[in-house]
Amino acid sequence: MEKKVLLAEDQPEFGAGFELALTMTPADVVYMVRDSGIKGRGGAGFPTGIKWNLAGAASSDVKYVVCNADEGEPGTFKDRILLEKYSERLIEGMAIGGYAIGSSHGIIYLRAEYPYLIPAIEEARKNMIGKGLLGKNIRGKGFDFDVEIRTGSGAYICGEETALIESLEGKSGFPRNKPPFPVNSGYLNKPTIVNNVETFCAVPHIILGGPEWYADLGIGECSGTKLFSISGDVEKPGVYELPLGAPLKDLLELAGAKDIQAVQVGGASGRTIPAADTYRSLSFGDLPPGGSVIVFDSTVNMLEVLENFMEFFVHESCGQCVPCREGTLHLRNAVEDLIAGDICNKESLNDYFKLAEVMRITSKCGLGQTAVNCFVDIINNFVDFTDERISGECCCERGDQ
Amino acid sequence: MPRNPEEIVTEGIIEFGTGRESLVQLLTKVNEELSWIPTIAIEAIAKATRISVAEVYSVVSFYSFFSIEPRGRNIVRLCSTISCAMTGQGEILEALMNEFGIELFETTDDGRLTIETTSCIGLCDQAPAMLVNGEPHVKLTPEKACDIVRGLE
Amino acid sequence: MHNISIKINDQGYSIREGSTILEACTEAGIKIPTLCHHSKVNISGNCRICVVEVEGWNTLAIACVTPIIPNMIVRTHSPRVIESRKIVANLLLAAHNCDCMVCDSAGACELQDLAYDFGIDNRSRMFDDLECLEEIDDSSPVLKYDPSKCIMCTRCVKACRDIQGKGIIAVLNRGADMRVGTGVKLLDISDCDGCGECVQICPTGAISDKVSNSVRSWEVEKIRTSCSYCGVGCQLDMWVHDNKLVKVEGADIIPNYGSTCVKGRYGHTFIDSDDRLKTPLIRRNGALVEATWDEAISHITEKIGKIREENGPDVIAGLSSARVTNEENYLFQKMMRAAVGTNNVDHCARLCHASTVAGLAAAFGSGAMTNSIAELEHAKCILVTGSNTTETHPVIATIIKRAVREHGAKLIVIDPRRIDLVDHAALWLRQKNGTDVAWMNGMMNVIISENLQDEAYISERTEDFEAVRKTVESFTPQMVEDITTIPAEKIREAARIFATAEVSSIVYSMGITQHTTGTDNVLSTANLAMLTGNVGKPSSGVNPLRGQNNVQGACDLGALPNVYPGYQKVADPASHEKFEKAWGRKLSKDNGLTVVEIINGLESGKVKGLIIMGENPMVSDPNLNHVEKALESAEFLVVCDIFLTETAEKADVVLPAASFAEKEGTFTNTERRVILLRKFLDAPGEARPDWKIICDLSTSFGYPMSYANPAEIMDEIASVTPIYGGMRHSRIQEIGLQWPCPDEQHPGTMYLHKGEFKRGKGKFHPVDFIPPAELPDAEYPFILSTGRILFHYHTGSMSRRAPALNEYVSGGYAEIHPADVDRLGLADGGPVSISTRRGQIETTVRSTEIVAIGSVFVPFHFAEAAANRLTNDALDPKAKIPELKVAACQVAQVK
Repeated sequence: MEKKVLLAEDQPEFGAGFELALTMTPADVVYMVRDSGIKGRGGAGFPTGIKWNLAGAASSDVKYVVCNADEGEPGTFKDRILLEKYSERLIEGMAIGGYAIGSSHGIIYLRAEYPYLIPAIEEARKNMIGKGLLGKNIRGKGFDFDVEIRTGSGAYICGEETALIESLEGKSGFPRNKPPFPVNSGYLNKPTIVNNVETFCAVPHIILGGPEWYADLGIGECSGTKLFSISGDVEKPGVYELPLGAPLKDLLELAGAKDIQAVQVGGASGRTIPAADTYRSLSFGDLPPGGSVIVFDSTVNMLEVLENFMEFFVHESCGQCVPCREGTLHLRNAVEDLIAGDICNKESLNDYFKLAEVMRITSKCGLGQTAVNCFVDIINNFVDFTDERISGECCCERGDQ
Repeated sequence: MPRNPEEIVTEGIIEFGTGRESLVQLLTKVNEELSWIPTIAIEAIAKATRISVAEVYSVVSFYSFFSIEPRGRNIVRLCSTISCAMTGQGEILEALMNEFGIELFETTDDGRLTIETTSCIGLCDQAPAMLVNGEPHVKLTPEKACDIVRGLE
Repeated sequence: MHNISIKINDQGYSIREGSTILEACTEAGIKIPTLCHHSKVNISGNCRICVVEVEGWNTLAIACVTPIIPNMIVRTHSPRVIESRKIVANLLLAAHNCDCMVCDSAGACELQDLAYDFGIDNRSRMFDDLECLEEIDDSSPVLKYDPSKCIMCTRCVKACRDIQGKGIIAVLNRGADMRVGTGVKLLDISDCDGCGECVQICPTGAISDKVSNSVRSWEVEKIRTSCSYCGVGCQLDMWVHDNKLVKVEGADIIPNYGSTCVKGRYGHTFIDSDDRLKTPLIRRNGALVEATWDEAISHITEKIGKIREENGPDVIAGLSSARVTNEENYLFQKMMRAAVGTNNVDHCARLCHASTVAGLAAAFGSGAMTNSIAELEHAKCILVTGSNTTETHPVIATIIKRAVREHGAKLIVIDPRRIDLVDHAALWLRQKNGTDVAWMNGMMNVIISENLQDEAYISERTEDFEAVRKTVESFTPQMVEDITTIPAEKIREAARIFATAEVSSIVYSMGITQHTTGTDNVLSTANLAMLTGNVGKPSSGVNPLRGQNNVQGACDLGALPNVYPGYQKVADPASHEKFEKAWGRKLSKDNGLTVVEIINGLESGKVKGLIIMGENPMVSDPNLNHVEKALESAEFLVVCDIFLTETAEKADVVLPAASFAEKEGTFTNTERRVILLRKFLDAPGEARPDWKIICDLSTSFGYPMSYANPAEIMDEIASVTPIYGGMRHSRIQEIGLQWPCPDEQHPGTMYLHKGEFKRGKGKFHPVDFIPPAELPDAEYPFILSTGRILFHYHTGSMSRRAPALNEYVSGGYAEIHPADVDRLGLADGGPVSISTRRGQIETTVRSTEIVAIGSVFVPFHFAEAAANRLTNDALDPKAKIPELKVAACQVAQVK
């Protein structure tokens, strides 16, 4: 069932969490965030408190707080809703982050596809300034903070935090080798925290409600609530807020999904599961809770879905590392061959499965490592090699093998 | 009349400075104003930032919203990712190309319009969707899309 | 950093903390394949070939980028690792145009090696070939890019950007469309100058020499030698097949560490030129006709002997050469002094750095670069003046750029032209030509008035500072602005940067020396360096960049009229006696004539016989119309060269010499490093090494000389030349030695004047500003300066015989500001007439903002439009160097 915190109709005034944080020491703020158990809401699930603690401990006069608003995972639009309505909350969360780690500079990296959200964010910034919660010597605490908006230019890879930093530095979005990690050497080689829009939005609620309250919002081991964007073959597509750890079927029910053939959870780089598995939970330990859920009913040709995704990855691979640059291309070609009937049995795909595994374990960043998920899941679970669609007019019968 | 690219760069440098981190912002400024990034703008940016011309090209060619080819005053970016693809993006694209007599990534002779496809634009709940000069248009049909584009200046 | 324990393949190791897994494995003697990794460029970690397994990790680790951590357990050859590497190699091969059978890089291709090591043949390839046959960019005169063979390792991009500081190529596009390129342009219209750093670093055949070697790497012999072009002294590996030079590679060793310039890599084709001199020539009935060596030698002996008999030895003079070896310079001056009996020996250093030798010897006691090339990379401020380093000392320019780019040095360029280094500079000061003393005094004025000088250094290490303090008092920034046109504020800024940097270095060249005030200019650089305590420590100093490959050595070995080898003065009775004893002959006590005096002497009759070895005054010397007349009035002229140069054409006897490729010996590069020359080709026809020719001549003159080889000559040099006392060919087989090197145990000297100046205390010399000898006026309103360009060298006798270099620049031109071009009704690329009080040339307009309005720059390499027909032969009174950098000229349309 829904549990609205970030999207609640009635929520604390914007800035209240930051005001409270300012009465605490920066270390205490970090501890609160750490104790809440919140993990990165962008999908990678790194504990936010640990990230902030590392950045806070890094010695540097200049540090940066970066908001990853480069929501590019196919099927994900939760941050768009937050930015539209809750930009003040976001800026508040960033300010708390800045206070916690000792940074005066916030940067919102907004994807190029969302330029129409800029006025809302700028309005929010003005409101925060108006309340005296941005600028110099905030509330007389000797703490300065402000945010600027930078826009992307159309590159999915820039959602990867080091690619995002490269882009902020005016470069192509090639992910960096790690270590060093951004908490030690990020934007302009200064300690930097990069967090998702939703993470920053959750932080003020954690400060106000306390870490235990927040942790208890989740189910089982999970902390807090989570936004999910659901689309595809459902009656009520949109963004829903659920306790983290909720079963996928709860979300499907809310959105009115029927005749389910497959559900893709976590976007193109996530997992694709059959209807029978929808009892599984949306959590960092199970189905990736990054925020995208796409439902495919029984009329959908999953191979065409797969082709669309592989095309997406071919287009969005940055190209710097070999397995991802070349591998996405070969996997895409294999899918095209399947559709064309040039491959008609699973054994012919053996080398491609080996390739997929190598991409998973040798690619430089998450893109290459996870681009293979949909290939593996869809071929394994949704392609019937006896089906006419595949073998109907296949290469064996055409005699051209 | 579009402004002189060098003038835009000069203005951008006042706004963003000449540090390396200003490069994407400078390019974005030119790209947004002119719909594309002409060679003279690239050279002016390279000179001001002391980044080599090739490196500026490198950044331009990395990002799909930048173009070194002239594009139309209006840019239609039709989402081609799955939720939109499943709900008729293909027919919309077909309709637009027929209506305006250009292929994908081409520009009309009068310089009015360029049609592109793009990766997911985060409007999957209202698919199919497109961005026209950055503004979102959702729940499209071929007719609706053509109407919108026809109404552009 | 301490060591930490890790396990590799079940074996324990203790490895330095901070090492990568790859470094740890290398230390442990375990070979891990790599492809994008190269020690000279930043690690990209892109190819994913060097993967290894780390216990407890979900993914594989990339050995080249992953640092070791305590108790890490690494497996370098587990089945999972091997399979991953093979699959990655398969991916690369599917995208690669595997035409190894006709590829120049076969045998030297890292991808080919990988396929071979993994046993991936065409049958076992896993993936279908991708379409990869894009067009080749072969628009460059020297190299080509074949994208079908590119594996996107990006080494070339980093080499161009980070090693060379150019950034001509970059990674374009993304994902599968990724490729290397210049942007919209092909290479030929980019700023690519053909240094070939990218060719050298490419692991496959993607970027390669444009002209196929027609020989594969295993068929050649690679012989290391020293470059015959500029004074940097790059070490080169010559690929030789069938007595032909087929390819040049930069040797990864001091001083160039693999880099070269376009001349070094692609400009050595002159060796094989058809018009090499192959037999001696004697002028008979007005024409030069072939003769035997015996005929030529006895003809010379007879003629020179007769002139000497009639007029005494001092009517005979010799021009030695900055291009031949140390051993040959030593023998040449020995022959002139001991066999002929005159000190009339000089060479073209007179025209480039005579003022350096005079000025720095007076200030410091030694007239050479105080510091070493490599030290420049760690200077915190580099002041470059009168040196277009990018064009004249290209590899040094890359080091200056790296100092700026990688190490945060502040570069100050002070030059009337907007040279390439300006793009890398924190500050560029454009002075009016010939006003260098003024801006240096101005900087010192600011430093003193702001109390930024190094008082402790001045009092402990130097003398006569007060006189300079007084002289510069009146050189206020405002006054200096009036003289130089440099804004006062910029003088202040430059002074502050220079004085407050932790360590500052001055780099200069002929923009400083080739003036009637050349010695004054040099003294001013010394004043400025001493004022700020910047002599006698690493990365500091006064660093004159020497122009030709062995101009330093020619000076060191006494091819100068006033000093014996090692700058031992002729006028010093002890030295005189020493050499009389060593050489077993009575020697003249009088200083000899300098180059310009020798040329003037020919005309006046003071000089009647002239022996020239490897020099071309008919192009290189100022006021050529005068030179031409002088040479024509010589009673007897001998020229020894590898080509029939403009000068040789006027000779009575021409002797065919072996080129640097065909002989052994040593050069001394600009940083005082004695480097080895190895023979890698046989000389054409009857051409002989100069040292053998000198031996034959001297013996024939009645002063027998006989050496088994140049190493033996070096042994003799060492015995009479203290600064070369420890030099032996056997010691410099790998890397050269820097003088002073007094004995065989001495390791050589990286930088001079440590602790104490050569002359004891550093001497300040007050210098007042004197304007150039000839200034623009109503009749000759433009300022003319001359100089070198990247693609050609000296009088062009070598570089103009290299087709690739001619493709870049095939003839002379004049740089003129666009405003002047318009005003005078000229056209870019069109003809122009330039004249001075001494002569006139017609050349081609190059319209460019490199020069200031009212200024003209003409490269001096081109005999048909010889800049030196225009230049002024007015001399610096102390060093006798002519004012090649400033003359007043007219610029006009060609009638």
